[in-house]
Amino acid sequence: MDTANAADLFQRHHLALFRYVYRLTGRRDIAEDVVQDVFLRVVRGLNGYQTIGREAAWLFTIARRLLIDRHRGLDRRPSAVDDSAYMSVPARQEASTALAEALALVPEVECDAFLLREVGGLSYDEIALVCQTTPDSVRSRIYRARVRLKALLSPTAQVTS
Amino acid sequence: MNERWNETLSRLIDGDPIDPEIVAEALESPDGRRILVDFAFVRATLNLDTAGPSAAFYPRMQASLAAAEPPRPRRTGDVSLRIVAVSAAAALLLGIGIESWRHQRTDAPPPAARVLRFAPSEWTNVKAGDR
Repeated sequence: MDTANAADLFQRHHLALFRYVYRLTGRRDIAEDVVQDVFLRVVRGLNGYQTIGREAAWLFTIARRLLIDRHRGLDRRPSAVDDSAYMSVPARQEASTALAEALALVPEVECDAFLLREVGGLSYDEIALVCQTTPDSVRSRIYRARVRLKALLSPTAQVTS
Repeated sequence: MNERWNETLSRLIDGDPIDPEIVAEALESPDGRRILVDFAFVRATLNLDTAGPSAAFYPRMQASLAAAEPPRPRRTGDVSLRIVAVSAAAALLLGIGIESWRHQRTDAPPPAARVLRFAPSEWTNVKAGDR
């Protein structure tokens, strides 16, 4: 793939890829490294484009493999990196911190599937391909992650619990 | 009951095919409605996420993408190379042609300088030295 096409893919997908890795690991430096490596692989043609899925699924598959290869057993607790430079509204900063803390408490397989759905916008079938599992398993992982997160994040759930 | 509602409502907000009767049953109950609101809240929280790479990331990314692209040979150089190759092949063929033509010329018998004619006659004995 030439640089022009890679740049176009980068423009469209780099933020979602960054947020997926960042929210999964809690580490900005790792998220940046993984996103960079994904697009370097795309330019070098190391991962041939597969037309069976959308390009987003292809990019997330590369990102996920890189993450598994490089950061196996990574501590998923959010790092103490200051997000203030990236947040303009205090409420958003607060939400981001709460989100990071809540996601860190969700089991990794559930969090992975949930983020691929919510951040990556992948369908259940695509997530199943990326995670090498079945769509039924994906449905189950996502709903369990949602139930945990609603208990951790939702004001009504916190009031009632 | 909540388990079934949770799963169905989770699939509903993802646009996955669901059983409408379970949705109706869940939404008739205050608990079911709360589940849906909570799921919507979780999604809204994620949508508020504005996390992005640092400012230093973009120039770094641009530089690494430029370095990753294999250098392309210049088109003019490409054409010149083809011209040289075609010229060399033509010269070689021409040389072979001339050489084979010259070989044909040297192998051919020379044109006759004189013609000997033999006329039939009687046999005669000639003394040695009279020839």
